[in-house]
Amino acid sequence: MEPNDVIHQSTRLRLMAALYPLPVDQRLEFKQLKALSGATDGNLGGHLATLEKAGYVLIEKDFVGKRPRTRASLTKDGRRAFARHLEFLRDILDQGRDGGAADRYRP
Amino acid sequence: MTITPQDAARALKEVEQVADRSSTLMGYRAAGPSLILWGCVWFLVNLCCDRWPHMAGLFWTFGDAIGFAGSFLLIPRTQGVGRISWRSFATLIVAMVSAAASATLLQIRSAETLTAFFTLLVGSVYMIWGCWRGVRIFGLGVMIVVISMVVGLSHPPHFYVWMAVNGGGALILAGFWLRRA
Repeated sequence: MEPNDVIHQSTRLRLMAALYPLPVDQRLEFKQLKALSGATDGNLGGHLATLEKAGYVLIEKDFVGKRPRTRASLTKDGRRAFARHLEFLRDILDQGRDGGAADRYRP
Repeated sequence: MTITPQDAARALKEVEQVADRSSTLMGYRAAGPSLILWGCVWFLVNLCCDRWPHMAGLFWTFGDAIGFAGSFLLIPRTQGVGRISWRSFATLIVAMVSAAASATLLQIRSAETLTAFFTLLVGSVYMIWGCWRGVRIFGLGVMIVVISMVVGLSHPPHFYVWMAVNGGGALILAGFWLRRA
């Protein structure tokens, strides 16, 4: 199993973790993602764009009254990729616990 | 990319923490509309009880029916129908039966004390819920318990108006607060 380089970056991992528990029809707003990920405005925009480009996150922009609103949700591909990445991390951890030869992953 | 078991453990812990915080946030947002509805029910029923105290039982039966039906309609819209399980209904029924049995055993006769007693129970339920779903809901429970104790023990003139403004108002404000979480 391979690690997912797009997801494994720390801020993007937190963004995916924040979006993963949401029901399919729910989204998180930019300010909520900022609070959950601990990222700055600029950083958050960049990381969301990377995840959107990978097809993992859907970004929706609209207006509430006169205020712009940005919301994000996971795509089906994103949900699947994140679950696979978690499985990969658990495998690494299990191998480490077993004291097996593959105590670290090197591609 | 090199990932050691320590890196994997750290990443999984981070995922778990963020996912927990995200679930708490979603819980707050899901609870908001229901709390606003219950606040309105609480406010109106208490005002009606102040005007026609001999019909308090009828007003509460009607108000509770609206509150439960409304919550049932609101929660699926925010959390998904699948989340409402038979366990939720069973919990609700057990809580109601226990509350009614406790009120009977304690021989509460006054309608005002009965109102304060049930308000206290609702506050306790919010506190228990808050232990699982987040500090804001726990704080709301504490606020309801304190209000019901203070108003219930002091029995001020226009008891029901106090309960309407403090209890109902607190629930409505808390609902808006949670919705903005």
